[in-house]
Amino acid sequence: MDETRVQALIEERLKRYNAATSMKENPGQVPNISFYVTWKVYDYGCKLSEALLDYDLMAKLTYAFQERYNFDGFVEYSNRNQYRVSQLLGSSEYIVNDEAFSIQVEDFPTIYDGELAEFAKDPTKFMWEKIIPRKYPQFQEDIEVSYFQELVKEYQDFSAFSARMFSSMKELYGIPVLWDFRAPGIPNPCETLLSHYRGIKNFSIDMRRNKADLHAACEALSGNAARAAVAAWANVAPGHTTKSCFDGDGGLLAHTVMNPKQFDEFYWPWLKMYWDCVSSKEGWVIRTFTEGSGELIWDHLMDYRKGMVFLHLDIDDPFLVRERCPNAGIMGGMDTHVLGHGTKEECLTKAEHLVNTLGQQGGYIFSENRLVSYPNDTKRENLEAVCKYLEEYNHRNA
Amino acid sequence: MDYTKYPDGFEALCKECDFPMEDMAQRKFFMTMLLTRLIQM
Repeated sequence: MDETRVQALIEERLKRYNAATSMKENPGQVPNISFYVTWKVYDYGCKLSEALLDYDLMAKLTYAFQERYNFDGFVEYSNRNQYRVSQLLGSSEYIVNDEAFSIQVEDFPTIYDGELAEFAKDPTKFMWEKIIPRKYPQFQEDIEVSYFQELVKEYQDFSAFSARMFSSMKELYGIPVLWDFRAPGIPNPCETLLSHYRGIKNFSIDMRRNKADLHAACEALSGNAARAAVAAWANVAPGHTTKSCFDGDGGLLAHTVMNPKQFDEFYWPWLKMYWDCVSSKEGWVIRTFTEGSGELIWDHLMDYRKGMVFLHLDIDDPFLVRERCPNAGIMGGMDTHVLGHGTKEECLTKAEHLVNTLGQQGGYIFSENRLVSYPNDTKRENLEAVCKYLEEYNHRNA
Repeated sequence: MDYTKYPDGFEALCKECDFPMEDMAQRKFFMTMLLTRLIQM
């Protein structure tokens, strides 16, 4: 594709994004954003283990994916799994199964019971002396500099691959990066503690039985970074991005193990800090993915201006969310069960319904209703039909 | 040298690794960032 055509596509897509994020009725445009992850590997026809270890192959199959389906944007650029880096340090956390086409991640704690208070006293020391050796068995007292050097190089190679994917998708196919990170996020320590330190079961127990230690660990993990980020926001310019769809991004996972009271006590204060920063900048729009149901944040959303948050939905019914959160943008809704098991006609009926209702109301971005990972999540002919429908809809109404 | 001890092993590794920066404070920041990434993979 020549440079003029690529530039024209970038501008066309930016206009399409703005039509959606403006929240205006009858925008005439509905961006089609890919929520595909490892299904891209399956669609190309190679093994997961091959692609995860070969960045050139992963890049090639991602380009093939875009050439076939012509999306307007990507949530994931085939850089989700840092498999090569974790393998180098002897981690057994990732379990790649080529037959099942799955990547499983073991849920094991690296902060053991009774250790939260010790972690809170000096997180960096604890991470270095206890977490890293527990997670990576080869990090032992006889480790040599050369080994660590190899690890650093591997990590830099991964970072370079990520950067390559962001820039090449734009230069080759006119795909702007989905979010323009112009300001720091506020890390939510609940996500880190649940996913990487305590695990689902232990974190749930901590919320009930170790509240003081859990709060201390949250503060130690994220307190200083969060306050520094809030201070930095004073210098952030208002106004919606001219380069991307969103001004920021975030995802909620830990909320899925919380009841409303626990959410308000542990999770919401950190998320509110970030949303208050975003709210202080007129025009800013952020994507927020909610694993499972995002119902815990719906009431909180109503305290913020219309269109500030685009909810990227998982299991929630987009029509119910539209009714309950009229000031939120909506992303998602295309059911992978229909994409994977339905007919082409059923897929088109579903897509048309989303576009002609939510799309016409405004504040809607078409995407899949979950991270698309497994072979049965989509049939190729269904995705081709749906993407073609959206492409024709957008060109017809441009 | 036992690099798994903090802060001595951590700082020694920061000093001895071939990082893309000269300043020790930047090297420690880079190592801390790498540490966080390693844990959150």
